Amino acid sequence: MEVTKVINATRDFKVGEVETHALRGVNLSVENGEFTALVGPSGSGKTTLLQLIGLLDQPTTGNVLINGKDVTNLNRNQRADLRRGSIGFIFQFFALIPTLTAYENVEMPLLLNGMKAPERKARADEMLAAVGLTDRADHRPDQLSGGQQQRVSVARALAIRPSLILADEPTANLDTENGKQVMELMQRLNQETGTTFVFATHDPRVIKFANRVVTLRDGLIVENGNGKA
Amino acid sequence: MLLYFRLAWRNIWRHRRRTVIIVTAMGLGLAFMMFYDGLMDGFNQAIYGNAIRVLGGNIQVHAAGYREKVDSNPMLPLANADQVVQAAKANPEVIAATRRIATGGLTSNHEGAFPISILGIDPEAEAPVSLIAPHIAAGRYLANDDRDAVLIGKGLADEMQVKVGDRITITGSDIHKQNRQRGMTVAGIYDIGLPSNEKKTVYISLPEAQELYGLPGQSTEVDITLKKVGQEAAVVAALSPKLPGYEVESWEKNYPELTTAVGNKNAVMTIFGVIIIVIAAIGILNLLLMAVYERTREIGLLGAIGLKPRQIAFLFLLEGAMIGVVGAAVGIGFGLAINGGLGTVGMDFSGYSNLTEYMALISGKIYPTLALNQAWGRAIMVIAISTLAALFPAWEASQREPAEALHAV
Amino acid sequence: MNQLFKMAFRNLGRNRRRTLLSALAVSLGMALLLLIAGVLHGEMDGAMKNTILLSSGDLQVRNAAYNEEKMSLDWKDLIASPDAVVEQIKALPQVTAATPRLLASGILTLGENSRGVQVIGIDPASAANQVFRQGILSGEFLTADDRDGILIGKPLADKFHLNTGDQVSLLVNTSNGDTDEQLFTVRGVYSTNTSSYDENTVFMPLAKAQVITGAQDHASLIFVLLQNKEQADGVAAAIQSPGFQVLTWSKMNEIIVQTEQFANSFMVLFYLIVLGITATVVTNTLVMAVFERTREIGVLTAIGMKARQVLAQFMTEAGLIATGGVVGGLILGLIVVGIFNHYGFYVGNYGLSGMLISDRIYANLQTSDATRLVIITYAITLLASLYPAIMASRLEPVEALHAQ
Repeated sequence: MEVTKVINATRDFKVGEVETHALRGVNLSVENGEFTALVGPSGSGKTTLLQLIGLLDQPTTGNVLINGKDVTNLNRNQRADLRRGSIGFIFQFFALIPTLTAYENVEMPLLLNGMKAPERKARADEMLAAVGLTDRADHRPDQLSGGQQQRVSVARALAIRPSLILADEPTANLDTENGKQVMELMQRLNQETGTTFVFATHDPRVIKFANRVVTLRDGLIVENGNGKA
Repeated sequence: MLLYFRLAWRNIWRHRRRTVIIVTAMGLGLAFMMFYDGLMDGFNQAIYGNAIRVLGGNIQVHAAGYREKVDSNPMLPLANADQVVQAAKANPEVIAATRRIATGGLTSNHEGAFPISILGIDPEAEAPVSLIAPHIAAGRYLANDDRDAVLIGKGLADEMQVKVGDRITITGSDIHKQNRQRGMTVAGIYDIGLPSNEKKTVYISLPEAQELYGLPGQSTEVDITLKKVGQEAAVVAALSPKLPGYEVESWEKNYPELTTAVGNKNAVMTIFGVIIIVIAAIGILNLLLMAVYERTREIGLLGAIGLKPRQIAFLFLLEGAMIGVVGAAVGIGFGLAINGGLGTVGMDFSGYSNLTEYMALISGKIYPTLALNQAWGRAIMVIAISTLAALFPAWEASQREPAEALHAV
Repeated sequence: MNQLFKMAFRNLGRNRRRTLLSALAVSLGMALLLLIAGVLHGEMDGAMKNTILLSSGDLQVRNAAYNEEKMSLDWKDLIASPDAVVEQIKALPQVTAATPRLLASGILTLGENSRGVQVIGIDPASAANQVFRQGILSGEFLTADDRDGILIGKPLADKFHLNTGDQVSLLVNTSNGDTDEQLFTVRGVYSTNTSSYDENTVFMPLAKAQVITGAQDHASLIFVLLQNKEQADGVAAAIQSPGFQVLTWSKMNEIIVQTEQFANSFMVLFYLIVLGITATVVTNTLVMAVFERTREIGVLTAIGMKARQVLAQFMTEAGLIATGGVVGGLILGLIVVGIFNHYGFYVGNYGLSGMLISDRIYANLQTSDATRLVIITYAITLLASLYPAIMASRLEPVEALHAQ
């Protein structure tokens, strides 16, 4: 069963008078449980593709399907609902809400989903424990290291038990050791929970964690590796 | 919901300096309005207190038809003044109920002629609640059997250059609107510190007034003194049904212009207040627009997590409202401090006592009240305007596509 | 210097919306204050003009013994043979009108209703009474030989339900300390648009007033109007003579002057509060600008800009915002003042006794008030910029460059 499918998607951006074609007709489908890397040089369209899959953006032409359902023409509220229920994000910058503690950051999507207090508390604690940050629960982002912050974002992304986690250059701002830890964490969670991961990267050390590698260049998929899973 | 409050509250304090400045501005605006309200209240209380005493009581009972003709000193006898007095005295809030005859006229001697109100009073019954009895500067207070004796104010005595024992002419209109002229002896001179009132009011005994103005055994007014100011409405409501055929009214009805003047001034002040707060709110608008800009990426992130546009807008509205709440709290604090201070020290307006009929009722310093009653309304206005100021930034924050917002640096 | 303005201008242009909003705040504040100043001056100026025209005149000549409060009609307090005095005064070139008046207290009675009024005996022919002639709403103005005609004000006519031609009883005090009463006919109803005056004042020809009060050929005062009220002191000195008192408009209307002064001192407080609030908007705008440009300020100081110059930069920006605000405020303020100057607004009868405020107030802005406001606005806005400007000038280059 495919979690997401992108059909003939193009995405044009117009900045001032200049039109750039970030995606020029991409077809991609990701199966449940995959641990897929989108690779390619910067400007190749990795981030744009991730955002289309993540419903943060809409294709100029083409279609996006989530769990077999066409979501291309959903309005902003409907997309927000879908994201909140089934997609988790991890960003390159550590993307935590600076005014909330680690615990509160993890708890936030659960609150948005209307989960009851006891269950919410248990889930947030569980997630923080899964990323090994139980003792840092009450720290604010500026009191955490980069690696710790990224682990909190992983915990937040996983908290809603999404069917799909999208990570955009999750290790780009981390040193080698921390980067490796975060990747191992994601891999372990992929294996233990079966959550599908798609991550964009151009770091070869990260690529080797993937069980499928999709390569983009100039807005086109030039190599579509087959999933091992 | 709690999440939004938590986020909004923490957000407004992210740049403490900015927020403090804005909150100070809102607070100043509100404090200024409270100062004004307090001062006006102080004025009113000073005026009311004296107005009640000058009128003779908190509540006046007249014969039916009086109010309609109030401008022309109507001489309408009460059908049964004793019944009115009995009914009033039965009310537990009432201290005294006394009979009077009130008419208009002139007093004259060789110094000139002066328009006056002539009040026939029941001297013994009024003594305990009288404004003038404790303020006799020369001579004596009236007695029930006084004939051809008049009690005049110090202001009038000075104008007419008369002293106790001198004779003056009192012309008053009687029940048939005929002018009755009578030479009288000044029995006493009272001094209540309100020169313009002293000039206009002379007192004679009720029996004499009954005789002079053709009202044997009758009176035109019953004045009711209450234990406390502010009970008028309740007592009027309790008495009116027991006294059909009479007009039972609170003292305020005698000063209709006072209420409209105060109302007008308050309306003008409210408009000014709104403009002042709108100016301060432009500060909030600027601040939140800045915040939307600074937090672009964070807004994108909230969107990615699944906040809907209107939820993001709500967050910013809440921030505006919270700045308003804090500003209102600060303003109430400032306002209480200012009014509390001035309320203790008092403000001297005695130099302006001859400016208006009402100012003439002020006998010394004005003590502003805390104006807490009006403050709540003003505070709600501050919060409402602050929230409105957040509308545009909130809308702008919600318009961003998450992908776009995440792109921003 | 030029460079400074150019940079300030460009810096403000970077966040145009914020700059405009800040200037708008200054404009709103200023327009509000201009309106208040205009209304206040209009009210006071109007009250003064009205009081002079209706009641005090630019000058009044009275018997030295006359006491205004008493309205005495005793011959010893009055001016005997006023016509001779009037002729003398009229001979002065500055005088536009001089006319004798006789004042008495009266009680107007119709049926069951009665009311105390001021009775004024006037010379119907005099130019000084033109204002009442013009104010006639119905009926006719008085003639000098009318023996039983009076003019009453509109509010009084309404209260008594009187029309032209109706008869009404009037009681007045007399020279011997007594009173006299007679039936009069309402010849006309007038309005000066000043309820507090109109509801209390009844006119009759001077000759009739002299007869009914027993004042004979005496007058209470001589009412004088000048070409320009500023000439009052000079003319007063010229006509001063023993046995008379000559009062100028400023002396007679001290209460108005005092009230204006009192109101002005209260206004200063109002100015400071409104502009203080406006200032916070400017302060905040600049504080934000300092934050945004921290790194840039670091670069500038690194390449040799002095703290003083950084300070000047931000204060220039504040100056430009103030200029925009002042210009906008003047435009907005003058429009609003213009509207209120044209249409006025209705205040009704405030029950004021010391001055005659007409029922409608017309805003009237003095250049001096506007100038003062412009200066105060500039001063306060610049003062408001001091804090962010000093903050910026104290930034250490190294720290500033490190900022995100």
